[in-house]
Amino acid sequence: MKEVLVLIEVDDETGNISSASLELLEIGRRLSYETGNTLSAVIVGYNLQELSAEVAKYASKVYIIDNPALNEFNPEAYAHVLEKICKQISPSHVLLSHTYKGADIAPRLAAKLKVPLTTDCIELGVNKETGLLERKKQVFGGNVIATLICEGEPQLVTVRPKTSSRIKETLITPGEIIHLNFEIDRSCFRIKLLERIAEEVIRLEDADVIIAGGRGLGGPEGFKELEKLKDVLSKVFKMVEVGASRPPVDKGWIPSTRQIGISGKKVSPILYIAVGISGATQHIVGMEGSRIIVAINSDPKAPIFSVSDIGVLADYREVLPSIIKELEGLLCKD
Amino acid sequence: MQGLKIIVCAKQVPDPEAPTSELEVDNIQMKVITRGLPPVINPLDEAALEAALQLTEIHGGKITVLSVGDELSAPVLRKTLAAGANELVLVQDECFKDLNEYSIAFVLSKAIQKIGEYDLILTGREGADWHSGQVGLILAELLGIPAVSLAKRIEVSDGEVTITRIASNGLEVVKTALPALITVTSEFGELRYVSLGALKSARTKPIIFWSAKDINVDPTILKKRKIISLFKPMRDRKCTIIRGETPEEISKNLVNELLKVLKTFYPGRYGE
Repeated sequence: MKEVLVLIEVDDETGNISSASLELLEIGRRLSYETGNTLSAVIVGYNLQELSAEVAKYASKVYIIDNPALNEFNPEAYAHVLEKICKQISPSHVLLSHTYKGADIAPRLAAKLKVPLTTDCIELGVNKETGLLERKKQVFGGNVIATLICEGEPQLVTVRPKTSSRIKETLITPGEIIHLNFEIDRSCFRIKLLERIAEEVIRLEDADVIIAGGRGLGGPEGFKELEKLKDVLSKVFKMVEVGASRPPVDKGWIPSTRQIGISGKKVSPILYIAVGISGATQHIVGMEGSRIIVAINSDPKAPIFSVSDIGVLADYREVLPSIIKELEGLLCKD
Repeated sequence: MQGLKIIVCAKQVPDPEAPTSELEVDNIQMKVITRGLPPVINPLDEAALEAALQLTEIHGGKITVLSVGDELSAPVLRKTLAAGANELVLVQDECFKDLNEYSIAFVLSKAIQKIGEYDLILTGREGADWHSGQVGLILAELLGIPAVSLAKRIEVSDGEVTITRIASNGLEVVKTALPALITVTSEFGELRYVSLGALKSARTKPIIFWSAKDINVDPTILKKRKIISLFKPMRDRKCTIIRGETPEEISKNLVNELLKVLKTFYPGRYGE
């Protein structure tokens, strides 16, 4: 029986299976069901005992490539060992998450296996006639949704996180854990990690409220105003974060970890407040899943209004202080 | 070392900043129609050119810009010469139409073999059209050189390159030997301003044109992208515009409207 192989990533903070990988397992489970194949998982790294037992709850086979040389993430070495496992087990499908790691490994693996790859898929289906994967993705800045098919085996894709639910169904008998002792080619260690500079971890994806600023803020000071609004809203909502569209990031007003859009994070909070954001599609793609969208912009033609529920046609400098005051007044009454 | 030999791979794309109403899809031919959108250099590839220019300012050397396509615009790509690149190679052939990423990387690798020696290959992290983020990394595999993605800073010394790159939870500083391929992210910064005068004087700079045959590419082994469905998603919400004479009035009305909406969606949870 052919295998649908899923690459498991570890959450750097918790050491558990990452949420993106739990989603990928669910997609893999569905695909293996639709194609009549087995769901397998592969974990690459070091000290993987506990993790492999966890993954074996969901996947019929769990391949472990456990090696001290793989302790640090290294896309060249990861692609190298994944190539080896693909050559050994000839999977029908190989699924990776479109995360920093997955997106760095997948093209290298595609080149090694000489198979086509589709990255950042938002939906996968199985073509009834050919059995090939139908790969849906956003293209042209999110203005077009395309479905692609590719010949070749394995069918190789990366999948955007948060486009599936997480796997829940556990196996009656846990999956088989298979250790693979691959020799790792020295040529995989051409790139040396010198330093890791940690930045504040911002989980924009988990926020209840996001206040995002755009080019219209006019400079880094604008984000200080957004912080004030954040402080007030934090009294009501559990998790309030400040985000940005691309221009403020390109201009260095705010770090890229707060960027929302096709090349940044995709968010879906309860409330999204867009301040001075014109609403280029590449930004909208990252926030259109929000429950309530409020736009503050002085340009009545700004496309952001057509994706918003509530619009304020004004310069944020004029209205933001009074909005904060109004909210403060309301919250102090309680 | 006698300066750096840098190759910048630059893709021509429909202007991603142009009004999206100009973008259409043809669901019979399975084509995205971009006729109304002016061609530009992929912005992230422009950032890669800026990286190359900064490096040759320090170390000296030569920058060759390489572009592959079926319908390249020499006037558009000439901007790279105006910005300071030394050489522009356009590899153009009808058989390069709609190629998949692997085939594009393959064509680039053949063109690079013809260009000859290099220290660095720089390109953008992804194209503004198909957002694949594959070609650079595949190209490095085909050439057998190390590849580092998502660079925001690049420094060269003693035959080695040090790259500050965007990673999951911050930045990573990595080092590798030359030659290497680096993909550049938007945090690197935009391409420098190119004056009208520079654009004019670049008109006389020669451009090298090659076909598939010139770089020994057999068209029959190239694979095309296969599309089975295309559509433009509708995104329309009914937007209530908040009115008011003064900022205070607007704010009051906004907060009231917001409470109303929150109560509809989350009864009993917010706004009590």
